[in-house]
Amino acid sequence: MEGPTPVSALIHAATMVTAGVYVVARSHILFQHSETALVVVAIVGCATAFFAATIGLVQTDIKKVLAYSTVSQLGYMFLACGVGAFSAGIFHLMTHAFFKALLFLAAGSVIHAMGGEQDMLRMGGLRKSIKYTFATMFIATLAIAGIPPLAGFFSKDSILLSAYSIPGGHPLYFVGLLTALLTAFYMFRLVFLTFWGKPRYDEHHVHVHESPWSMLGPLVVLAVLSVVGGWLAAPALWGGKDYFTEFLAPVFGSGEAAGAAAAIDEAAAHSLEIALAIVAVLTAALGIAVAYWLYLRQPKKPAELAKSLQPVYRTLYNKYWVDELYAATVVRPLVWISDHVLWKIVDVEAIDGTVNGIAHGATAIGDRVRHTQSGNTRSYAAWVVVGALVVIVIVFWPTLRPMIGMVTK
Amino acid sequence: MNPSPHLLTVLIFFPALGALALMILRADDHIWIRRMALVVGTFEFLVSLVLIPKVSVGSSGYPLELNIPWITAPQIHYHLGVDGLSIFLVILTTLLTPISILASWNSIHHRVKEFFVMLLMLEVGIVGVFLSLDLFLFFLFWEVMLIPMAFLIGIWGHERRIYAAVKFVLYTMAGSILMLVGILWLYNVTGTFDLPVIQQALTARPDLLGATAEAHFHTEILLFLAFFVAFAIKVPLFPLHTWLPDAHVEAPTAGSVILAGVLLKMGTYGMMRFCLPLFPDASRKAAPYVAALAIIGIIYGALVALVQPNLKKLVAYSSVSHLGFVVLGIFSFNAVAMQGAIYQMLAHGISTGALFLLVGMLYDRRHTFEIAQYGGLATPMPRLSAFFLFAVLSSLGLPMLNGFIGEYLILVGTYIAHWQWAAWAATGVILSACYLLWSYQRVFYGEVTVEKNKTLPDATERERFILATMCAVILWMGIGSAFLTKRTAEATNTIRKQMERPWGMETSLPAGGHHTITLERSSTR
Repeated sequence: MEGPTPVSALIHAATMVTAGVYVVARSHILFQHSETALVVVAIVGCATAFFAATIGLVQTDIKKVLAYSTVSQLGYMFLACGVGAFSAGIFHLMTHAFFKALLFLAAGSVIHAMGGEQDMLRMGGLRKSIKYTFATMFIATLAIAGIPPLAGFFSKDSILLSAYSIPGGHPLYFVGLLTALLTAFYMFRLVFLTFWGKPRYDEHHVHVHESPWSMLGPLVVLAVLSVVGGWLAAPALWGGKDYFTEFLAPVFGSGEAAGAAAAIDEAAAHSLEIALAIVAVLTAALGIAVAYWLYLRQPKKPAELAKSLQPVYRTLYNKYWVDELYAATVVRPLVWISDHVLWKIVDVEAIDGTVNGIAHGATAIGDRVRHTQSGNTRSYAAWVVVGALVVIVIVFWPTLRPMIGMVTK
Repeated sequence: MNPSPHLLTVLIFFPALGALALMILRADDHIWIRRMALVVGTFEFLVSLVLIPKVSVGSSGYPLELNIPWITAPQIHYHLGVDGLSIFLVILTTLLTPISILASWNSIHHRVKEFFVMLLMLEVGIVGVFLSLDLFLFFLFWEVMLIPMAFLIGIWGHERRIYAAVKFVLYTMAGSILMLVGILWLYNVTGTFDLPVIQQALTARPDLLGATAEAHFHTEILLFLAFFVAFAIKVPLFPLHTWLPDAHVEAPTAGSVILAGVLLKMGTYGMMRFCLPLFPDASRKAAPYVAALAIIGIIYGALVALVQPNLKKLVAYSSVSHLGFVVLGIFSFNAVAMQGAIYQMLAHGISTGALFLLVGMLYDRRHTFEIAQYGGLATPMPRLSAFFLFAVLSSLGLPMLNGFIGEYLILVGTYIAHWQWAAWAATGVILSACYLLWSYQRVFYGEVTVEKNKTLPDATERERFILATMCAVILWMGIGSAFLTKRTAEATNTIRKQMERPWGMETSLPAGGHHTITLERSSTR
């Protein structure tokens, strides 16, 4: 997120952050052998989706909202993998790539227009001055919020359906649905804050200007893909053909969705599908409505809410203090122990101290023994006598021992 | 084509000849002294490359061997040989020597002639160690190499150079004495100093070391320890490592490069060449303890490196960590891990050598190793910082660069043998990323905090040439690793074969029995 915006677009959309999903899907053969592993993946994915979305609710940096939205959407992809719907996960990876790259590039265009400003609280009312950026970004927002018939609707819907269909998957489904609500909310919050309302920036200093076509071109391409991309895997119910699952069938096998769809008969499956789709769309609409009410109808309300729910707000704003938690529990203790214990005590004092101690010991012994070499003839003579006696005792010890025995008796 | 084995003699003594020629030059003619030294070093490197086609892929034994009686009583032979284990260590030495000469071009100001003479004599000792197949000859070179190294540290080092030089010599000597006892003991029971002959004798006649199996095993343990301690000090294995940070910090750049690049490998080389093949049962018995020390070294070295305020000491401690991997690979006795160990020796020589060169270049400019004195250096010196990053990435084991191959092979091989060892060692990979990237960030990124650093000159042409060479080798080793591994493969196989004795403890096990080694079982011959 700290990178230049096109780089953020690339790594958030396709390359880096999604590698984890790819690796899990690619090694599905291993995961499918362990029910526990799959459950862990699903729960971790679900929790990630939810917590990241809650963080996204309160961020004011436009790119930070998008960054946490990526984390949240990755949670969806893991959830899909965890419930065995690998192709749904990969499908969401693809559609997400379209609209998330678009969102980042559009955000870049907004930041460019604002002369480098990233704080949404200092934007507002931009929809008229940067029309193309607004239009494309709005499409992407609809797509990520799950509004049919845009790309995000189909991919998210199929993940939620898969989660709902597995035995014991209902809690996963509800958290996923709740996350969809939050997603719609924070994305429309972003759009409302940026493009609607009154300008909250200094209009004398900031000259809002639309980006050149070299920047808008990619936005348009991605907007088109965000609209039509979903139809690659539109369920039969919608009159589409699931090209995507077919395409991936050689990898995941056709029996992949067996746990989900085949368990229920066709008709029931279809009615369930329709019901879930309606619920999903209503949820998204609710999220949008809340955002509309809070940020356009009652613009003072969010600040009041933040004040009255201070602890919650601060926790979310500071991302649950996870960074601080790691710093306090891992980084600082490790550095402290390495510095004060391992280096300064174990290495310098104990180990090197022993080595130098042996050296000093040798010097000290030498220093003591040196005094026997006094240059004094009488002392030399005395040492010779002592030495001779020691030698005699050692040599004649066998003879001497019985004698000593006799004496002591 | 039948190559002349005297090539090996040339390889060892050509630098000595060069040193002799240097001595003829006038002492104040610094330019020609440097040029001459560089020419000698470069020629030596080119000659060493001739070894590669001679040691063909899959050749067992010593493809190039020279055995001439030298002293008749006691029987000492001038016995040299090169195989897959030693060839690339020799080439590493001959590569790092001209690099070090070039790196010392402008940083040595007094006793210039003596400096380059010492550097070339050091090369004589190291190449001699790697090529000797006679234990006496080996010991001779092992000791010979100490003298120029001690002088390099003691004369051209930094503030505490005398302390460091004396510590280095005494510490190494303490180990060498034990090895000398071991060598003499082996001579006593076999009547020869010749390594292949001793190898055969010990394999064929187990009674040489003791009449009973128990006595044999005890003797083997003692002999193993005599050799092993000498090598472990050299490596250095935890907790025998404290001479290393002192020696490194005080040594001039060229000294550090050779010290980290090649000298340390003499220890791990010795373990593979002597400890494992000559004393296989003792090696097996000692393996868990050695592995424990190696793993402690990996993690401990990394953690201590993490908190060093002195950049050169940080790199020195990172060597403790990286060499721990090598020892672990050797003592897992797995073919892949041992291959990895050989590879890691070479990779570490190049990447840590490069890091010491870079730290030396920073020192040439600012005369300090304190990380706090740097910061934001990427702004005044973009090229140097790019090279530094390359070396850092190679040292932390980024795929496509050399460090990755060695570490990966060691971890894979060790995992097959003992997965717990590999799991512990793997934490070292993470920690190495921590201390290297963190220190890189503090030295090169951010704002320039010290006024003096704003005007530091970027890498000169000479420095760029040195660094580009090192980086090219790093990249080549990361991509073309098969060139090396297929030539070292036979060496590891040979060691593993030598470790299986026909009357050995493992073969006498009943079929399907456990692989625990007990003394009783070894009594069946």
